[in-house]
Amino acid sequence: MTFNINKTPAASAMQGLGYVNKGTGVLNISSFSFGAGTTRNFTLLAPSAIKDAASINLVQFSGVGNTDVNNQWSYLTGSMFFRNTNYDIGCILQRTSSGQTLIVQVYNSTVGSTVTVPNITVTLRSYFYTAPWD
Amino acid sequence: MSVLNASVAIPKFGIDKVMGTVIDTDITTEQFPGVNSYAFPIGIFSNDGGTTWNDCANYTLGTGFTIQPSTSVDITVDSSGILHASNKSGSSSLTYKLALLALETQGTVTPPLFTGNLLYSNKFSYMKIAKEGNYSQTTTSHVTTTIAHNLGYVPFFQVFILDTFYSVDARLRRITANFGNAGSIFEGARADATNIYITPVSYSPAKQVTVYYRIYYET
Repeated sequence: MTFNINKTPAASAMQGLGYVNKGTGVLNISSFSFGAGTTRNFTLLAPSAIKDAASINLVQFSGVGNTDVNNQWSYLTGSMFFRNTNYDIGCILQRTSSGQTLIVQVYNSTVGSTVTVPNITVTLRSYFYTAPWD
Repeated sequence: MSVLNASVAIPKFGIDKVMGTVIDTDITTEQFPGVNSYAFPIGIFSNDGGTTWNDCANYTLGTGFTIQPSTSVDITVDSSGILHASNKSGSSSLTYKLALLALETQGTVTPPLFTGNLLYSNKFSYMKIAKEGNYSQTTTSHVTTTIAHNLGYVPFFQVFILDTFYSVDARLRRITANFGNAGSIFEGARADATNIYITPVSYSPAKQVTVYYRIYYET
């Protein structure tokens, strides 16, 4: 018996890359003031993370001053940072036994000025692949 | 045994397919068995013996930030299917878990070893591909290309870039969200409910790049 399968898995014999979980995490940062050159850290715990899996992530920052970023869904691989008028925002993804976290750091980029950061909402959407190496 | 009436469930939609995987420490190049052409690289690394895992990516956030991992890793694939891992810090001992995914144009390959009889397991769901393709462009400034998907929701997607940034040869790598040294000019990819928008890193002098995108159904 011969099967000619033209769709999937196409002409190859390859293992499919499945996923086991996806989910959305939300971090609300309330408006705060901080001094020049200082930082504030916030952590978003993504749901249903797998410690050593690959993933696809989209991140959205709402309420920020950078119009290229505000309310956009950006493709996130590992890290991202962007500037606003008087504060910068950076974030990195990490996975531990506690799950996947998005660590968000806000940096006062002014010289000698206290800055008030507005209310910001950070939303992370994640798709966790099965770890194909297991 | 004779079979008179048989039916085979053939997936209607394409999915990501694994051409090979590797778990290794401190690699610089890796030839995956049976892979001899371009492929999409994905992977994670640990610099603390497996306690923490990070996407292979650039973690240099800019002046003032203190949350960077101590290293960044760039993974690329050349035309021979050789994966290159570039440890940006160079000093840490890194553990890698890496995989190569097939391009839509991929032909027959030697399958990776895996247990079980099936290529696909009903233990998992699979991300179904709604749309994929590629295009070429010359980048001298921040040119954004719009790809319509018209799904009505913000989909998961992936974008890879084939370019000659590495000068020796053209390599394929995952795009990252990057705001450049100035921190204000977007380079990367983003999506809304209608389109995805791709802005490769600009080069001077101009480079020809090929952009591969893959958009998934929300299932």
